[in-house]
Amino acid sequence: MRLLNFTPALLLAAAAASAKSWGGTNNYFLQSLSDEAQIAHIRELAAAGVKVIRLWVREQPADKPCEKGSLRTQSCPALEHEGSNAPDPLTLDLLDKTLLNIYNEGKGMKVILSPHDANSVYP
Amino acid sequence: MYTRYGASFYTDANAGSQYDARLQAILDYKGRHTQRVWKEFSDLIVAFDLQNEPYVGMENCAAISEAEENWVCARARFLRNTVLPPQSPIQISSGGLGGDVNKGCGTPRITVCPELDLFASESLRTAAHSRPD
Repeated sequence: MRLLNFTPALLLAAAAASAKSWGGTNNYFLQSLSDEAQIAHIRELAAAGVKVIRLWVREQPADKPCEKGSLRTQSCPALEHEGSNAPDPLTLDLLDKTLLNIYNEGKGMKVILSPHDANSVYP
Repeated sequence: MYTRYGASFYTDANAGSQYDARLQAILDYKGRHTQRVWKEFSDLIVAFDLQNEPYVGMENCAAISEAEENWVCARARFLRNTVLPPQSPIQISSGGLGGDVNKGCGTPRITVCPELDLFASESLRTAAHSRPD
């Protein structure tokens, strides 16, 4: 059964409620956009005052070049995939390039990193 | 999801160890481009999620067992005590807890512990029961 797109994550601090609030966003395919498109988007987010972006360690499938209306030009397998004996760092490398882009262009924007594979564990 | 352990993913000790190993591989990774080890990259990374949508796929979250409730804290303890550097400001988030609202999984009950810094909720509705909120 196909699930609908999930509602945006709501992040609540475990500490007592603070008067400070901040805006954040999620993007699970940012690292698969061209570097130019990534940087343009990061700059837009920073200009809009976005403080945190949540990103995922996941495959960026080459056979699915369109993700939510964006064009995927960089792809990678999942961290663990069928037939892999050890974690495959390609997905980490691709995401790390995006981290560098955010570090350089994000005007102080921070990152939350999430693994994607949910409760999948391969033999 | 549930590719090897099925619904015992949240209770099987081997599944827990394998999952901890996955998390460790991510946190111990040294960036090919940033040249930073991610678990030490606190000037950019504010938190790591434990899982994308923990408990997603559960058939009945109202009947969640104590062992299943403890899964999130068991992972958080592993990261805080074994992987993250001492005094690291990087926080540990549950990840968007939840699954199908129609299976009582809107916000699953989990054990709260000091090693879990952030709690996130993310609920879904299966297509068969979807209707505008």
